[in-house]
Formats: sequence, structure tokens, C-alpha cells
Amino acid sequence: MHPGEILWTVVIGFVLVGSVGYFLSIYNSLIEMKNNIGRSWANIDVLLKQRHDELPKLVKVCEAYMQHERGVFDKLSEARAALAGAASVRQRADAENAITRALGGFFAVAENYPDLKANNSFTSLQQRISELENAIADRREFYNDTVAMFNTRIEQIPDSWVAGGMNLQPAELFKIDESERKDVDIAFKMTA
Amino acid sequence: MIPIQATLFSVGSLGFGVWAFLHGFRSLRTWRVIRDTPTARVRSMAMGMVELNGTVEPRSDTVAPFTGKSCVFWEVEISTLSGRSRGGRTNWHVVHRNRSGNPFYLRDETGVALVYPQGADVKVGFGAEETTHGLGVPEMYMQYMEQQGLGMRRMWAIGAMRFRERALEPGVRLYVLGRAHPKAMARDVSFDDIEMQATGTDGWRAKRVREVDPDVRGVIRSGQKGEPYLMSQTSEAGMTLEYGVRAFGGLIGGPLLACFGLWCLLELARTGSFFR
Repeated sequence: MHPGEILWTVVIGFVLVGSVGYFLSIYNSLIEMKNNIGRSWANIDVLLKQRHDELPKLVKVCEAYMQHERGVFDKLSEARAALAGAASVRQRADAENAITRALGGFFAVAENYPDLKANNSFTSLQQRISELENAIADRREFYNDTVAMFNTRIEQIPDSWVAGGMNLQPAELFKIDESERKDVDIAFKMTA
Repeated sequence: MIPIQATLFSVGSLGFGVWAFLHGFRSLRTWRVIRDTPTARVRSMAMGMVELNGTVEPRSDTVAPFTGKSCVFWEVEISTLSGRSRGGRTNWHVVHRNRSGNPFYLRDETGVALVYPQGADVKVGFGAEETTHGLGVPEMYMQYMEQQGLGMRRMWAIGAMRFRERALEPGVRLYVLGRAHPKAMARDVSFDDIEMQATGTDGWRAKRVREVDPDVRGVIRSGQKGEPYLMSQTSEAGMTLEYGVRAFGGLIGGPLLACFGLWCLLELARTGSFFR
């Protein structure tokens, strides 16, 4: 074999191995990211399930005190029922946002019942739900970061070529409820 | 350059180029993991690969062996002089490397995690470095080598030696990329402070462990073989840049160097000056 041919063979070998290795690394990292999205969602789901399980306990503790507040109980049970029919991330997120909203209203009304506020079971449940909501907020942020990175990657060249071949679609973000983003109206009434 | 040197240089270039090329893939994987893993908060971190940023806190009494500084992690390196290049650069040969294995806490604004440094690639600058110029080394180094049972210590001390130490001091910010595991289940057998004090083993550190350990949200340690486990005082952006340069440097520079080495070898073979 001519020395020039040996050199060219080696150059082509490096280019081939390098290209295949590079595209394999893109493929593997996209698979890893896709699984990370599933994992991040599963981690939110665990907390949502825990919060969901706390609701009947909360209702049981409060119904004796808040007998005249049928409306808030109904909203809570409607939101809980809506969760059963939720399939996609968006539907699930909407249902969870409805529960968050209903819980907010529920605790606001509970403020009017001093006896209930003094009940240990109620305070511990309120604290537990509040901790769960903080953890859900953190994990939602993490999930959304993972999804945003994935969605960016599958649109960038050369990753988009591999993602196209794998038929990867952008993942859905777990969006926060619009009403939670609105500015709170605060009006001060000045008396002369 | 005489042919034997040229031959060795060519073989070296070829070998190093291939090594850099293969190593480039490893760095590429680490680069991707750093880039594709979002930073988590300790309170809500999920088990599995995580990236955290926080402040280090001690869990046990750890003292750096050379400087005697109180720290959460240390690593030392002892080298002997292996030669000097023509440019006057000294080449050192590492004869001993050691690091502490004590776990420490990593705290961010939401919680605390326990970090086991075994197997981690720790990117912390050498804070202390001393070079001896032969005919003996200071007593503290000799004592350390004796404790470690380094049989060649007296012979090494005749020539020039270099002692380096890196230490992570409490309160520094640290970037950690590793695998989070659930905290081991542990149960207190005694809650009675007076009884504990009576045992004489309940120092302030033990108390601190008892206070902080229940708040630990998870344990960070090395994962499966080949999985990156990094700790660094550099930011995530700095780490991404470092591994990106390593990866693409290896993947592009490696083959170029290997091809150059091969070309030199082929030229030597063509002119018939191999090992002549």
C-alpha cells in the first residue's frame, strides 16, 4: 500500500469513527433527556398524589366547623374529580391548578373560623399541604427547565437532524395558572 | 533531530493523538451531562443524576495534613522530579496521591444534602504547594510519608520533591454533579442529652450531626461506572467551557496529531531512516 493511501485511509477512518461517535452521543443524550422529562414528571406526580391524598382528610377535619360553606367544599371536590379525567400534561396541569385555586379559597374561608384554626389536625394538614405545594413549585420549575432544554436541543443543528430521525416532538411545559400570575389589586383607603 | 528521536516523537504523537481522540468522547459525554442537567434545589431534588449549587459545611473534624487547616475535604499529591525540558520546564512524577473520604454537608437556600466525595473529580486549585531541592524534606512531610508507609521516602528526599495540597474550606460555594440517593434509614437510640453527655462522646460535632442529619434531603455519591461525578468551585458555565474545549480539542486535535505522527513515520520509512 502506498504511504499516501495509508494516510488517507487513517484520515477517513478518524472522520468516520468521529462522526458516528458524535451522532451516537447526540442520540444517547436525547434519549437521556427524554427519560429525564419522564422522571421529572413522575417526581411531580408523586407530590401531586400526596397532596391529592390529603384532601379528604382536610375535608373531614373541616366539615364539622364549616357547615355553612358548601360552596368551597363543592369547588374542591369538583377540582378533585376533574383530575380523574386528565390524561395529557396540559390537562393534568389545568386540573392541578384548579385544586391549588380551590385550596387557596378554602384556606381563605377557614380564616373566618377561629375554632378551626386552633384545631391541631387542621394546622398540621395546612402546614403539610403548604410544604407539598412549595415542593411542587420547585419540581415544576425543574421539570420546565428540563423540558425547555429538550425543546431547544431538538431544534438546534445538528441535534435537530438526529431528533427528526427519531421523530421526537417538543414536550409540554407545566404552565402555571394565569390567575396566579395576575397582579393582586391592593387599594388603600385613606381616611382624612 | 536524529532518526531515533524522530521515530520516538512520531510514535508518541500517533499514540497521544489516538488517546486524545478516545478521551474526547469521554469528555463529550461529561460536557453533555453538565449542559443537559438543570440545576436542582436540595429541598425538591429527585433521586438520580442531579446538579446542585451550595455552600459546604463540615460534618466531621477534618484537618488538611500539610497545612493543618480545618476543612471539609482535602487532597494531597507528592511528586518527585523526573527531568527538565530544554525550555527549563520541570517535569514531575506523582508518587503518592491521597484524599479525605469524610462526607460533608452541602446547603442551599432550601435544604441540606450529604455529599460523599469518594470517586469524585474534584476541581479545586492547589492552595498550598512547596518544592524541596533535595537533601531532605521538612519534618511534617516526612512524618506524613511515614504515617502513609511510603517505603521510598528517604530515597525520594535526596532529590527534589514537590508537595501539593488542595482543601475545601467550610463556607465555600461548590458546584456538584452526581447521583442522588435516598438518605439511609437511621434511628436514634437515645434522645436524652444528659445521658449522651455522660458517655463522654457527645462533643459539639456529634451534637451538630444529630441536629443536621435529620434535615438531610438526600445523599450525593458516585453513581454507576463511567458516570460523571464532579465537584468544582468553578461555575456551571466554566465547567461547560472546560469540558467542551477538552471534548472538541480531543476529537479534532487528536486525529490531527495522530495523522501527523503517522505521516512522520511513513516519511521515515520511505527514506529508510527508521531507528538508524
